[in-house]
Amino acid sequence: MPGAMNSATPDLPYFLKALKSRDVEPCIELLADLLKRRQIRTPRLCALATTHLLRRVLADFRGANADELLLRIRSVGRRLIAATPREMVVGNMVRRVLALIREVAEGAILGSDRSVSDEGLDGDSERDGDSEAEKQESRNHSPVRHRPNLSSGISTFSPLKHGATEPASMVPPKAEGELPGTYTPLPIRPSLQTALTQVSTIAPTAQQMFGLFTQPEIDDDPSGVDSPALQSVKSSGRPENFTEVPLKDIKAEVLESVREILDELESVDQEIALYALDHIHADEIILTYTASLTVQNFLLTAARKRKFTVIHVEGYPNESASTVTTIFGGRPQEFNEELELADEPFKPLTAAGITVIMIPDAAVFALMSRVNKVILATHTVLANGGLVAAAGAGNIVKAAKVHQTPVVVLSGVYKLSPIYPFDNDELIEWGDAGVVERYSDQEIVQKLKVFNPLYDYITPDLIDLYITNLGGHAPSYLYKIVMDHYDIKDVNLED
Amino acid sequence: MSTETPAEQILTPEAVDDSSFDVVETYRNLLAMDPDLTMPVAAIESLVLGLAAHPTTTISETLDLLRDLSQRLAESTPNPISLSAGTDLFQRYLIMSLRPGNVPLASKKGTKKLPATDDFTTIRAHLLKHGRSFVANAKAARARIASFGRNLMKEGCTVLTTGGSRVVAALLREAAEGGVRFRVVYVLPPPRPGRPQSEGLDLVKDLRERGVPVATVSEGAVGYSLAGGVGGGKVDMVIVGAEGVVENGGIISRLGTCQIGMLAKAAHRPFYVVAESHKFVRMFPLSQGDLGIEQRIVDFRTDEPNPWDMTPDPVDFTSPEYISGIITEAGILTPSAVSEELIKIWF
Amino acid sequence: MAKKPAAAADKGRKPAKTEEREELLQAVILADSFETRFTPFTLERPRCLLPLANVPLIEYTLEFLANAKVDEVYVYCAAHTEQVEEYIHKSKWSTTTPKSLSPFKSLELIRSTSRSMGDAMRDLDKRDILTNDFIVVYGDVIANIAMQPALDAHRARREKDKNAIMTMVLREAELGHRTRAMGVEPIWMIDPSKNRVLHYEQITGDPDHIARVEPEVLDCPELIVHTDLIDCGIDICTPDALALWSDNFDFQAPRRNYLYSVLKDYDLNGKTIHTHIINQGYAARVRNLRTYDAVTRDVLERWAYPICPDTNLLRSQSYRYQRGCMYKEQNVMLARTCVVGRHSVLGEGTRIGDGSVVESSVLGRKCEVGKNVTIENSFIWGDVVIGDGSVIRRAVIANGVVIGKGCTILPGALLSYGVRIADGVIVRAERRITTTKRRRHDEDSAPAEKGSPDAEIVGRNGDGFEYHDSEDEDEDLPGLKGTGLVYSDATFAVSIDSISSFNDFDDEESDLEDRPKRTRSAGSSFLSIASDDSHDAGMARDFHHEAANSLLDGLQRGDLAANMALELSALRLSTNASEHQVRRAVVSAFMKRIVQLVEGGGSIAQTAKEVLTPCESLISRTMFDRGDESSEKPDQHDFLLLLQQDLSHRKDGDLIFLHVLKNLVALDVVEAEGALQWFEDEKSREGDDMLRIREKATELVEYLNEEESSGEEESEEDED
Repeated sequence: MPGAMNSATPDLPYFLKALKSRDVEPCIELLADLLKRRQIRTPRLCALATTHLLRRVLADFRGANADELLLRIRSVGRRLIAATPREMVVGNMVRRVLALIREVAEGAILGSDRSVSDEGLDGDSERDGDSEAEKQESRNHSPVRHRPNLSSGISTFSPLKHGATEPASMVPPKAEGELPGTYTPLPIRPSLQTALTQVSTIAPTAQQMFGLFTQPEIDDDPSGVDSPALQSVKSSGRPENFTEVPLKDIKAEVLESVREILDELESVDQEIALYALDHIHADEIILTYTASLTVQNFLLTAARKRKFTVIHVEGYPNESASTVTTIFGGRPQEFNEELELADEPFKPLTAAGITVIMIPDAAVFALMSRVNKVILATHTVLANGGLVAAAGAGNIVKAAKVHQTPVVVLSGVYKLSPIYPFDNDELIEWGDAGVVERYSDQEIVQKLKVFNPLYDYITPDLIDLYITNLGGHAPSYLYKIVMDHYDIKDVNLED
Repeated sequence: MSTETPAEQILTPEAVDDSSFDVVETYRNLLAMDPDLTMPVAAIESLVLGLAAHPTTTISETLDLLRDLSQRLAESTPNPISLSAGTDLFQRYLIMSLRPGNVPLASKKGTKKLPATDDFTTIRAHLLKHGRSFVANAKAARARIASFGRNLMKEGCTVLTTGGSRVVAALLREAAEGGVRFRVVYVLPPPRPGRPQSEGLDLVKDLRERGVPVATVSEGAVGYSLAGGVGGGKVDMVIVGAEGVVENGGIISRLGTCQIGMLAKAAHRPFYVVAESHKFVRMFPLSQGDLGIEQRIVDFRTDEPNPWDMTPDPVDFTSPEYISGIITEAGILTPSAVSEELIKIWF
Repeated sequence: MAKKPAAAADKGRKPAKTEEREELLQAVILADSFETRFTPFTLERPRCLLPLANVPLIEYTLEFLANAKVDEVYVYCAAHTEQVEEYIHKSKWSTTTPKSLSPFKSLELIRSTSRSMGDAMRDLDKRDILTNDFIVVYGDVIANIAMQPALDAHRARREKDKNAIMTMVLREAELGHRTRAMGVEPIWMIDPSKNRVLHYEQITGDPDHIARVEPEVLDCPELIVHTDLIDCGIDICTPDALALWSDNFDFQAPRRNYLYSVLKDYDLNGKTIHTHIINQGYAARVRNLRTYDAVTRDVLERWAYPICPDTNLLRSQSYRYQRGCMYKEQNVMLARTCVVGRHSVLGEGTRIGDGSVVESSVLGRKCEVGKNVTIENSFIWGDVVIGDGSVIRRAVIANGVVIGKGCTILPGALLSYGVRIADGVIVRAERRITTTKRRRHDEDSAPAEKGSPDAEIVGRNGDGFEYHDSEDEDEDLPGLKGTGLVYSDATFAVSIDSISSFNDFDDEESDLEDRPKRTRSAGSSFLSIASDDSHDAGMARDFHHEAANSLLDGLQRGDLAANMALELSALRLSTNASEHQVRRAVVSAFMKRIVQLVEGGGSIAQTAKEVLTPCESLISRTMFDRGDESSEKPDQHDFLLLLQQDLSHRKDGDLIFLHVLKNLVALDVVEAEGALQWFEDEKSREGDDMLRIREKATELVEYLNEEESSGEEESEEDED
């Protein structure tokens, strides 16, 4: 990535330090500034920084109820996103946390509801006790969100829970996230998958499609937007009323879940790497692009068992430097921080006895015919299964298409964004022209217009498989994972 | 929108006594009353009124009644697809909410909850009480979709659209009012029997009044304008409405939509469908043939007259592969998502 | 030259303090560059608050410092301090409020009355706030470079050698690069082994310029001569560096005087100055309108990434990038038929009417652009109303300007704050229009006085009048109270006085000289008024400096004219200075002396006679057209002009002038024709002060005139 600022300037550790010492507001400003100056780059670092900040915000928040908390997080989120609109993970993390809060809050309500349905009397008196129980329960099952292969004693219970006790109107689409099916590593064909999850997901979706039949308080709100159905589909505006969920009931649990997101961020590469052996076979020729820790880990894991060849594309101008350092086993500057966090000794592929061939970008098409698989890292993955990756990935993927070479994209779930790419230009960041051409050359500066797009938008049909920390998915299936992790109300954070 | 829909003015549940109730009649009236009303909603509306007209006590009785009414409605029109979307949905809804232990869906958290019960009288009561709100909800859904217009259309883009879909119209109007600078290529179908003036002209007029440059082209010019280049319209995206969205994510829509989809695909232009989620139909057509309706689009004969005169409102089926996204009030879905939505309800 | 610093003297200044606060990184922003490059805008706004791509210049600088992890920032301002203060206080940088969000530990504002960089530096040294190595930047630096390497290098050197007092950050850029300050080209001779600067000088672009290098410079085994460096005005200094300023009270310009002399006197003070040359990243200074244009382009074309409009440095901004380097804020109303081309910036609330065309221009917030307007390569700062059908090319238009229907603003025009142009007016190229008169520094606080509109230029019921260069002759002149020096010690006072007035001459001189060049370059370079970097007359100044001083000393000592003449010519040969320069030196030296004596209480007439008579030979040697047949007397004419200019801002300069002239004529150093030609010269009428003097001289000249004619008759008779 370009930008001369990146060297020896404030970075993630610096920010985390500040986070400990200073109070919240300055920290928000600080992070916004760091993001603006691209001093915290690469999706994971942004994700980590954002999540840490949000956690701090949560911890320090002194509000009455969940509703206020949601609003608070939204406003913080808006500020961060404004600082770097194209670093989507920032938005993703904010939305993840919002979804968490909703889930927990609903859990709390559910507690009180149950008291209603069971004792048949108003649950308010009972709420505390009940929500305690509820908290207990969801604390048990909340790990399921992040721990794919957890024995699912509770998760098998959860569909029941939704089916039976929960007033459907409260269950947002993502509630399916509770289901074991979603989390067992998925087969590639979505059809099967849907078969797996169908029963349980009645309530939520029925909710969505039955929106028509819900009962709006016509009198005070003729537009009918107040009816839960329309609300659940109303992606902007205030969150629905959690006002009766006292903060104290949920705070601890939310914090806990946020910590789990952090764990996820730490372990994501390892989790993805678990699938390496399913996809890389002996003596294959793998083509990869950009120096990505995720990909490196993936390949390294495979390399422990198998011998194959890696073709690494140079990626001038933005990627070439880091690519070379990776190949030679040096640590590209932007990785150092990541490595400190995921304390994983960085070992070059060559050390694992893998032949690594570096080719210029121009040679991609020529060599593609020999390649068995293209394995790409990505910047962001979008709801429609398209992705935003380092500029140049577009060419590679197209070439792969022509030669019918399968394209595999490695991406942590945290890179998966609920945003639908209506306008591709909005996704592309335009970087430092000085990396492409010498600024000191007056002819160039005067007479040429130099552009340096940092990303390519790649349409879903060019991708064969996504591997996330939840397993492998077809592009057409990603929307479901989006539903599982985000709440549709949060897609648009503007009020 | 007003709480007093025409449905109210003409026949409130009380106003109807069972003998004189004719569901088809009601349905037609409803449609006639309110031009903004879509067929599924009208159907549901009339079913509710039907329910009101015939006092039933047991579940099975009710279901039979509904099935019967739906049947009659379906028979009454040549193309019941979109209508049946409504009736099916309604029946399914009842069954769902009558499921033992399933709280009526309309109950809301926060507000006073209906006690969980399988006594369907409560539900019946609820339905009759709030029958009118369905229309409101439907319209709210449309407004919601329209509000997506602003981010759907980027500055200076050109949109190709066709048909008389109310949702599309709302969407374009919204965008125009949002100050987005866009142009529209409007594909006008040739006039048909029963529809002397080809539909959509009023929208064209409306848009032009709002200062949106509109080009009207014949169905034959779609390929040309999609091709872009010097002569072409440099169309950036295609937006169409739908009568029904089917299980595999394809859509059933005005005849000619299918070919536009194909051309868009060929020209690598995104092809968006806008439809409220209550238009999702439970059917799985594999080809134009099995839409289950009688329309003689292609019929070979050795004598006059022109086959087109046979079918007043012909439709065709656009298979999901041509569709980039389906924009519902719930946000934008990929075709495969649709199938899931339906599967979830029906199994 | 002035006295040399005793290196020992600064050893161990600011005692233990330095150690304990070693961690803190301090920085000084020189918010005022003590130049008049941005008049007329700077009459009302401090230069550092002028917007570049709709962001005040100082924002970029602060951003740069924040990025360099600076802890304490001192903003040093002279002009319009209160405005800067207000801005900073409101900004996110302010550290005054308890719960401030500023990245800095402290951000202090220093008011001062300094009139030059030199004064500023000395003032800073006096204040003794900069306790360890610190960064000095101008309030108009735009850079995305990381300072850490430079700082480390600097500190490393310091460890080894206390005498490495300064590190300058320089950006590589070829000659003729658009972001370079044109007109003056610095030459750096650098010892690559230590990155040490051995020699520095500035050439004003004359092809047969000869660099005068001290012989010992050539001793160093490897020597790189750079002409390809942008001086981005980012220096890392040590307190010693400041001390050096104080020790040389006559240094004014940080490079031309300070750097040049410190290097020259290496053997005396033993201080070394180093460079940190970067070829990655972006760093530049907005020195004048020309570079203003260039830097704006750079920012829009993302050479300075991530410093681009869509980074939204200001919280309140909401710029989005669109294809072709087009940046738009929200709520911009574009009529359906208007065209906004590449490299444009549109601020919030701006509306553009039907059929209008905006090409590579920057529009601030709330601009109302009418129908069928054409705007090209222009900078429009905000709240500007532009009437239908107007055409604007290569102009800078400040806030609140109103341009009527069908106006034409020709290239190079500058419309300052609040100017109103009536319908259909054509604003001539490079005209500078303002509504406020220049105000003297010493009454900074006083509200700027409005000038009366000049219908000639802005049309009927327009507002504003043309701004004239000559007006800012004393823009930089220290009213003596300004410098706050006690007036008792005559020589001291005078020499202070002398230097600063030399500056003025220097500026002004090059102004005069550059006029033709300016018109030539008008087509080629944007806003070419700015293109002549007149305050840098490099060599010339050095000669002037030395000559004038030595002469003055001579006069004070009462040396023989012959000796002084000898010294003078020697100096002149060594620096191959032009006769013009010699004359200037002579004039100023003599006038100083006279003034000095007059202040001492001598009668003007008397003094003039006493000072001039003995030196008749010396003076006459500066004019070579005496007695020759041609009636053209350029030298004398020039001499008088200089004289006039020198005196134009001295206490009762007019009287002195009168008597000096009288004496000169009496001594027959100046002939009647010379006086006449001077008298008729346009330049002798520029500005009130000049006029005043001319008035006084009128009688005398007329008298000469008659005598002249009669004289001729006589001579004819003689010939017979």
